[in-house]
Amino acid sequence: MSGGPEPRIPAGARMHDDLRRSVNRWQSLVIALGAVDEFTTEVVRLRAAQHHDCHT
Amino acid sequence: MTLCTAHTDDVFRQVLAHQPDVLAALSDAHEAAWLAVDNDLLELCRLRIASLLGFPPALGAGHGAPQLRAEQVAELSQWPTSAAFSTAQRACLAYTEQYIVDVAAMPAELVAAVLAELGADGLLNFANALLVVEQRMRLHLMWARLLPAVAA
Repeated sequence: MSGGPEPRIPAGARMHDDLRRSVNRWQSLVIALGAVDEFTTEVVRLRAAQHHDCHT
Repeated sequence: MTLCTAHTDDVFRQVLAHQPDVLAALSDAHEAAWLAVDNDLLELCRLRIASLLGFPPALGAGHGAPQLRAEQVAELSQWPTSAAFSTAQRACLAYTEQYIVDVAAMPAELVAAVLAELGADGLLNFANALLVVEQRMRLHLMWARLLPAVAA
């Protein structure tokens, strides 16, 4: 991706397998919960991503 | 603010009783965080987060920190000037404080200091473990405030 911020984690860094899998699963499950409508969920997700300087 | 005296694990089991998959994922992430990062280091940072958020640290305890000294716990709030902390601990405590106060404004220097001490994999693991530990506390605090059954 061009024009984005400089990555702070060097390329090739590997996350502990258990931590990567469990964090990804936790976040996927939370996003899929149905108590909050999809629009609100996405707005909150984008705001949280901005707060955490996350670009996914 | 009223905060129940139940351990975070018990609060999670209570609040997420009808979301067993989410409960399991949160528990797995917490276990993995302590597998991925030196326990003394993560416990120091957990205690610092608890202090900054006004969270009773005993409610979230559960993993050992075998080499953590009483002197370090006692002087944790004075870590910038105390001689009780290693360079790696200082780097991670500085990162932790910025993470709690304003993670979006994390200076590159603080990231570089952790990278220099823990390496690239270590930085990645530390940042994610910190997320897990911090969010457990924030969830506990929020649920205790919003849900009368938790605060009781």
